[in-house]
Amino acid sequence: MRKLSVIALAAAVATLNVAAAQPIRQTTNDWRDAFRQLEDEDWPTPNRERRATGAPGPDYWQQDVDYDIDIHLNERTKVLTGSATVTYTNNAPDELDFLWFLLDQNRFRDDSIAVMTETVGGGGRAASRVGGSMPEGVSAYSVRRRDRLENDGYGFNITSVTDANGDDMDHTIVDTLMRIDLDDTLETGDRVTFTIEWNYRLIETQVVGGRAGWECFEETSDTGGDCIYQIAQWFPRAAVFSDYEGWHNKAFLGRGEFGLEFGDYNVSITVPQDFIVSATGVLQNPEEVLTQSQRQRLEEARTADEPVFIVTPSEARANERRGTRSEATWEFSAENVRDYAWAGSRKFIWDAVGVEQDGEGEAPDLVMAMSFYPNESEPLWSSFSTRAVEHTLDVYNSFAFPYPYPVAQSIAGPQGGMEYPMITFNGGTYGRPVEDDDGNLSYSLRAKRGLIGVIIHEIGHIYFPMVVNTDERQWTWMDEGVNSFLQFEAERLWEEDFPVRRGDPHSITSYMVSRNQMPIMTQSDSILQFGPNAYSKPTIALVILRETVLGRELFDEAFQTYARRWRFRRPTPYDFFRTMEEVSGVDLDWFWRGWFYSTDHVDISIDRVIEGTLNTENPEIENALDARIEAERAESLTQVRNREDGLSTYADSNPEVIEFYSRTDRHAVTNRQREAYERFRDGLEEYEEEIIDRGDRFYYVDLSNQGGVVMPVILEFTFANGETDLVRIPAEIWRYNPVNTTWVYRTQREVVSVELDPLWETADADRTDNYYPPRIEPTRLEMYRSSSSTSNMMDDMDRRVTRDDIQDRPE
Amino acid sequence: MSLKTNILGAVIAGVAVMTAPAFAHKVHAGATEVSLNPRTGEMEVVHRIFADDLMVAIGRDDGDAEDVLAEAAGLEAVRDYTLANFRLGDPTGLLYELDYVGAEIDGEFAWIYFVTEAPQDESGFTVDNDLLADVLDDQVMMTNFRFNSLVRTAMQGEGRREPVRVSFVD
Repeated sequence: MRKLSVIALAAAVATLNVAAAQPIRQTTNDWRDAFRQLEDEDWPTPNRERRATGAPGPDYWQQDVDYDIDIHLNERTKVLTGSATVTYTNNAPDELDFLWFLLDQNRFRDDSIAVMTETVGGGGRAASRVGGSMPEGVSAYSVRRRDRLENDGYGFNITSVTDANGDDMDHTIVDTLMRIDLDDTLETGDRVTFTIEWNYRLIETQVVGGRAGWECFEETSDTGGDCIYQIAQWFPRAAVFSDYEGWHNKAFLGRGEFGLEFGDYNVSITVPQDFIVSATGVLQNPEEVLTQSQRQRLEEARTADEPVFIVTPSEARANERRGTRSEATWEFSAENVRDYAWAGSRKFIWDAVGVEQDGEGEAPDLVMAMSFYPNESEPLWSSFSTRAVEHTLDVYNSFAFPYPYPVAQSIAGPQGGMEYPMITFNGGTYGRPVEDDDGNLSYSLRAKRGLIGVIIHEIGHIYFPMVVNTDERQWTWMDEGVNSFLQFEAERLWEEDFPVRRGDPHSITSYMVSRNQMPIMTQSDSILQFGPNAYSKPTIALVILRETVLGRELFDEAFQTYARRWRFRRPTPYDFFRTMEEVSGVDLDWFWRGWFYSTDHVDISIDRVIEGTLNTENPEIENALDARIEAERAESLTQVRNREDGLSTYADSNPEVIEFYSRTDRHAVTNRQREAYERFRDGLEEYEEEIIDRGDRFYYVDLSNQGGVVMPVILEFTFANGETDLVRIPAEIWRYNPVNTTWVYRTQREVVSVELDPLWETADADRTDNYYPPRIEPTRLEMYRSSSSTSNMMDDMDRRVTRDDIQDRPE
Repeated sequence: MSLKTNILGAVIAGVAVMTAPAFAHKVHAGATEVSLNPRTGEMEVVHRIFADDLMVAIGRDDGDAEDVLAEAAGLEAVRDYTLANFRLGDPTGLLYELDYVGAEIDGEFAWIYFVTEAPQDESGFTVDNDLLADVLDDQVMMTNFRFNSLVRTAMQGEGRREPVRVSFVD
C-alpha cells in the first residue's frame, strides 16, 4: 500500500444502534418467533372506529372543515394577504373548547423549532449532527438562506381572528400551530364559523427551500423574463383531530408533511390581470378571466384525442411582454379536498385534454388533465406532461379507485415535486431542454425520464395521501412508499425498459445490510436516510408482496380494498396491514415484522444438498449403487503411490493366495440376496410396491437464514437433461426455526444443480451462497469489466428539436 | 471562496463551499460497497449514486449520462470527481491508492468502479465519502464494508461529513 497522507480522524464513531422490534426474549435458548402476531405487540386494540379487519368501524368519524377564502398576491412585494371564513363541524364524540390550526409558513421564522434546530448546512431536510469533534463548516448557499430567514421576516402574520359577530377570538400561536379558543364549547354535531385574516411574504423557493414560493427568469431572445408563483400551505389549515390521537399537534419541522381534514372550498384569487391561474378545484368565472377563444379551446379539449393548447406558446410569449397594472380575480370551488394550492404566472402555456373514466357513480366520468408551464420548458412539457397525467390516472385507477376530482393538473415551476389536491408542482429544472451556444436545443433522456417520473409521482399523490388521507408527519412510508410503489408500476407501464430500478428488489440490498438503519415504522422527522427508508424500502417491500408473496391477483384485490375502504378517510398503518391480510387471506405478520419493524435484511443460503433414493432392497439395483458409490470414493493414496512407484503386492507375486473372494466382485448379486428380495416384495402392500418401483429421488436442501428476515424460499432445480423446475416455498417453512431449515424435493429426474432466488425477486443480499453446487458469482465490477457499453443518443446522432416539437431532425 | 470559522478557539480553514440546488427526486442518498474479491485478490470499491446528480457534479448535466460515460472524457471526469470526493484508508488513516475501472449507467443509477490492493489489515478502515455533498447539502452517503461475512457501515451526511473509522474488532 502506498502511503499518501493521513485522513484527519475527527469522527471516531458514527454508528447508531437502532433496536429492532424484539419478540419476547427467551432465557433458555435463542428462540425467535418470526410468526408471532403483531396484534400482541404493536397494533392497537380494535374498536368501533377501527376494526380488526382493517376497515373503518361503525362509529368511524372525522371532522369537516369548509373554507371561503379571498387571497391577494402583491407581485411587487411578493406578499400574500388573505381572509378565510372557516366553518368547523365537530363530528367527534368529544366536546371541543378550542381548535388547532397549522401555520406551516412559520417554519421559516428565524425563531421556529425548525430553524432553531437546523444543523450545519441548514437545508429543509437537515439531519442531526452526529459525532465528531469539529464542525465541518458552512456552505455559501446555507449562509444566503440564513440571511433570508433572518432578514426577510417570513411566517404568518395573523392580523385577526373574529367570530361570526365580528368580535375578536383569543388565539395562541405555538410555533407552527395556532390554538383558537372558542366562545362556546363545540358539542358533537355542532359547527362554528369564524374568520381569520393574515399575510405573509413568499419565499424564493430555490434559495430558501420548501414546497412553494416563486421563481423569476432571466429574459432571453426566445423567452421573456417574469416569474412563476406556486402557492401552497398558504392559509391557516385545521389540524387533524382524530380518533386515535386527538389533536395532531406535532410541529412542522420541514420534513414530515401533514395530515389534514376534508372540506369544501370557495377561493377567490386576485392576481395581476395578465396572469393565468391554476388551482385546486373548478374555475367558476371563466367568462371573466378567460378569453372567448380560451373558453372555446377548453371545451374542445374535453373531447379531444390529444392535449389541446388553451394558451399557446406564442400567446404565452406575447403575454410575458405585455405588462399590466390591472388585477383580476379568479374564483374556484372544490369539494371534499383536504388542502388547497394554486399557481399563477403570465408565463404559462396551458394545455388540456379530457380523460374518460368509469366514475362508478362516485367520481366524474371525465377528468380534465391539464398542464401549465413556461416556454423555457418546451418542447418536453407540451409533449409529455399532460400525457403523463393521463397515464397516471389510468394506472392508479386500476390499482385504487376512479380519480375522484374533475381536474388533475401539472405545474412547472421552482418546486421540484410536491402534491396537493387536483394540482401538483413538478419540475424545478426537469423538462427544460438544453440550449447550446448556437441556440440549438436538445434534451437528455434524464430530462425526459425525470419529468415523466416526477409527474407520475406527484399526480399519484392525489390518490395517496390527498384522498387516502394518511399522516405523513407520523408515517412517511404510507404516502411516499405506497405512492413510489405505484409510481414504479406506472413507469414500467409507460414504455418498455423505462430506465428505472427503484422497484427492483436487488437495488435495496446495500441499504438493508447496512448497520445504520432504522425500521420503516419510524416517525418521519427521526429518519436518517429518508429516501431509502421512506421511499425505496417500502416500494420494494410492496413489489415483493405483489410479485412474490401474494401474487398479483391477491395483492391487487387487497390493495384496492384498502384504497377504497379508506378513500376520503384517515387510515393508520395498522388499517393497511390488517386489510392486506384480511382480504388476501394470507397471514403477513411475519412480513410486516421483517420489512417494516426490523432492520434485518434478506440473505438465505443453500448450505448443502443431499440426494437420497428409497432403498428398494433389490440387489440388482442396490449392489450396483453401492458399487458406484464406492467407485466415486477416492482411491487410497497409499495404493496409488505404491502403483506409481511400481511396487507389487504379495498376491501379485504369490497367485496361489488368490481364491474365491479375490476373484469375485463383492457387489455381485448372490442367490441369497435374490431370495431375500423376493420375500421382501411378498410382504409389501400394493402402494408400497408402487412407490418403490417409481424410482423417486429425494433432495434434502439445507437452508440457513443469515439475514434475519424470513422470506419465501424460491428454488430452481436443474436436471441432467437441462430442464428446470421452479419451486416456490412459502415463508412458513421457517416457522419452527427461523435460522435453519431443511426442505425435501422429490423428483424422478436427476438434479445437477439448485439455485436460490433465480429471478432476483427477494432482495437477497448475498448471492454467492445461492447455488448448489457452489459456483462463482461474478461481482458487479467483474461483470462490468467483461462488458462494453454503447451510446446512441440524440446529441451523438446530431439530432435537434425545436420548442414546438419533440420530433427530432438533423442538426 | 473559503470560509474561516472561529468556534471556541478552533479555526477551520479552507472549508469548501457547497451549493444546494433542489432536484426533483427526493432520494438524496447513495451507497458505496467495499469488499475483498478472493478470486482477483483485489479490494473492490463500488459506488452507486443517482446518475443525474453525478452529471451535475461533473458539470455534464447538459447531456445524457449514458452518452457522457460512453466518452473517454466523461469517464475521466467521473474518475477525477470520485477520487476527489472519496478516500479510503486503513485503520490508521493511511490511504489506499484506488485504481479506476470505469463507470456505467443502469436505470436511474450510476455505478462507479475502483479497485485497490487487498488490505493487509482487515480489522478496520477509515473512509471519507463526500460524493455529491458538493451539490446536495443533504446527500447521505453510506459506505458498507463487507469482510468475512460481516458488514460495518459508515454514514456521512449533512452535519456529519467528517471521515469515519469503522472497526471489525469488538
